[in-house]
Amino acid sequence: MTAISVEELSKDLRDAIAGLESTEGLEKVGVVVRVGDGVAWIQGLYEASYNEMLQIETASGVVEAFALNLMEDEIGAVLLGADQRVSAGDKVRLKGTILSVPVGPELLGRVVDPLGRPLDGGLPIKTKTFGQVERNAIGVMGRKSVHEPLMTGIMAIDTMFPIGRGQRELIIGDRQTGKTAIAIDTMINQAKQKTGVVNIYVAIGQKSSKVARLVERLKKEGVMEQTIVVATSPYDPASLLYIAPYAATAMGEYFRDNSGHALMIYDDLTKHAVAYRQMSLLLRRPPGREAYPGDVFYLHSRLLERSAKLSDALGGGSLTALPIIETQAGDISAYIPTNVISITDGQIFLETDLFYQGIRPAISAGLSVSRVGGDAQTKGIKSVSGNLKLGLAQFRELASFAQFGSDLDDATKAQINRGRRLTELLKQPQYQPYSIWQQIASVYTVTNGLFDDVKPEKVKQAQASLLEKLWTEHKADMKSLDKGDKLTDDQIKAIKKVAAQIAKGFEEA
Amino acid sequence: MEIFRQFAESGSQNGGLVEMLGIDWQMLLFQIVAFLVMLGLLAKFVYPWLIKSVDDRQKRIEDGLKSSEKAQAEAANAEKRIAKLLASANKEAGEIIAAAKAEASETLLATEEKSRQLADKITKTAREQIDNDILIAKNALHNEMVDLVITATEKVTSRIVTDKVNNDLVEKAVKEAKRN
Amino acid sequence: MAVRLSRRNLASYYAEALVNGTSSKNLARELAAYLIEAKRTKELPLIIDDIEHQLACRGSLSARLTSAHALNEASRRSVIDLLRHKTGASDINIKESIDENLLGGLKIEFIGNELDMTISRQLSKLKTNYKK
Repeated sequence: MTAISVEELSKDLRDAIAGLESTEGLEKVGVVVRVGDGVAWIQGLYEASYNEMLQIETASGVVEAFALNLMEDEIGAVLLGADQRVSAGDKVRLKGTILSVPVGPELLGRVVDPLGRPLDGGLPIKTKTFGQVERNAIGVMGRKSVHEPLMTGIMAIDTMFPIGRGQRELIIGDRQTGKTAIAIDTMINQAKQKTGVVNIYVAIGQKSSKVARLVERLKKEGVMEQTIVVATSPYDPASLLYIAPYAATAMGEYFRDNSGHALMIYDDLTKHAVAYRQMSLLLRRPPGREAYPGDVFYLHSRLLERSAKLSDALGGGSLTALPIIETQAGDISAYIPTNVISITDGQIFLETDLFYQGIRPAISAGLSVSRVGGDAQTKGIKSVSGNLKLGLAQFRELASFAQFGSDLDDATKAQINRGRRLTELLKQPQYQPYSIWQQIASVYTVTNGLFDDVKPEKVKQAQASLLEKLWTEHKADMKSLDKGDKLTDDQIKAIKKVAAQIAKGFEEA
Repeated sequence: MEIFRQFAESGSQNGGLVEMLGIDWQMLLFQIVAFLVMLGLLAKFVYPWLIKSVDDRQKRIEDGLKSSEKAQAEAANAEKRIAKLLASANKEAGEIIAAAKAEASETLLATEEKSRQLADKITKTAREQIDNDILIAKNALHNEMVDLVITATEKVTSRIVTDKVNNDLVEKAVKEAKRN
Repeated sequence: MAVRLSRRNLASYYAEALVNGTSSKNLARELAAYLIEAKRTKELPLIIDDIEHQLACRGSLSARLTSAHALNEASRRSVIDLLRHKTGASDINIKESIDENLLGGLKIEFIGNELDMTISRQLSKLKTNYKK
């Protein structure tokens, strides 16, 4: 426990006085010409660079800003604080650095703002290193192909749209369809499966109550120790919302560049684009389609390109990104959604209809895709997921015939019945991610018809019983199955035996 | 003996013996025929029925005996099966109980460990909070000291800096600025 | 539609003309006429600052010296020498003023630059940099 020592305090002050230089030499100085809406227009500072940090000396202290518009006659600087503190005539100095944020393991478990200042009421954060907010992405030769799985714990995703470390997978859907829920479950699974992946959740313009609830849940699930939350609320200036994802990515890059693995969740990039649009219009940049500036694609592409799997020469670390986009009325052909879809390596599309039908997660198997695919899947899951995809695809084709009931031939009926059971199987409650062996056992059971005699509405119960019994009676087999290898004969035998027993108890009348 | 003697004596008197015995040949023949008819009728209508019912009874008795033997055998088998089932159920129950006990003790250990970790976490958080509070107090004191030092310096400096001192300061500062 | 002239272009033209010997009165009249015509009279202080900057780029510097006490001749000469050393300007004009709040030392200001060697600046740096 630290104690207050007068000697220590006076030594600090003496050292500060001794270290004071009489002059720093000629300093470049500008003056604020006008200020408003979070933007300060500055005359002077002819040597200012793009994105360079500026310090505005106001009556109530120094307000920081960064230069975004370098024009012929003046500089448009976006304020990183309240613009009420800045007045016309205030002196502006160059800080001499580009915008940087504190990065390092000291941030783990903390809730911070985009400049690294704590928001959780804890100790001030002191890190050894700083990372640049705007940084070039790794070049082609510094990368390796995505080959390690990032298990989300959500069966529908891990079996059909697997995500790998270093991939960018977009989560897209209307409001209240479970986008953030998927992100939270993925974070929880990293802690539950002890994968060592660091989570970084960026809340861009999210309600403070939502962020508080999320932090509570993460603490409850024991995930917070390996998570950093970078939070901005709707009342923060647009400049902070704009730099939030970049600052958070700088924090993630620290782990990536030190042979670690990190997961970035950007919630959500639609609000990010809106904040950037606001800033651009106030900076008098010419508006384009839907009033977005012309470089709105570059806004997201340079952000997401920083997520990569590094080559072994660079340490083999990875930075995986799960950006979230909110659509309006399911329109994925709108401007921002199409931009981000073309940048990412796949998307998970959530449909409102499925959500209200009770299929949660409401993942549309037809529109979702993972461009990395089986390369990022464990062998065990890969071996069982082929039948799952096929079964669901066939069910989708026959979905419209499902209402006819007895007028169909046996083969069609069998496919429909199987499809119903598969659909039931893929439903999953929130905050309950499945481990690898649970997914393999469940999918194997249903795709091989072992639950064909179980009523569709009882499939989840039967699955729960199956998993419990398998863990109780065949723990060693299941533990080895959890490593992700293909099913062995013993494991298949065990699953079949237990599934038969369970199915008997849930038989349709 | 008397009857034989009389029969023998009568033999010598043939005609007279039959009359003595009172046997009427016609009646005898009639009776024999009647007897044969009755026999025939009995054989046709009564004996089969009688024999059948006796046979049936016999068969029923035999069947009854067989069924009871069978039932006894089945009862013995059923007892064997029940005993076997009970034995396996007992074995399974024993295994389940053993597994449950093992699971329970594992859960208990895990819960204990979790509680220990939670307690450590709470203690750590409390310590951090105290450290935080002390740091805030230290910083407040530090800032107060800086403010006081600056105020005192301003007051003193404005009195002691004369024209000459000022010009000396300017010379010194210009020399240093040239070096930077 | 007339193209809007940037302040930089205007200042550059004005400074170039001044250096080449054009009468400052004529130039001022010309500039005033343009500003009134283009309804940009409010930008006059900014344009003057830009002209100062352009003149400084062309070797003609105008500096303001502020100190808590009046400077002697030696100090004044060493300041001019310093400015010549730092900016390479050949023609240096200085305007002096007194501000007791600076406590001691000297502040030199010229367009876009500042050299603050005063005691008050050091104290304010102590406040901002060392306060926690």
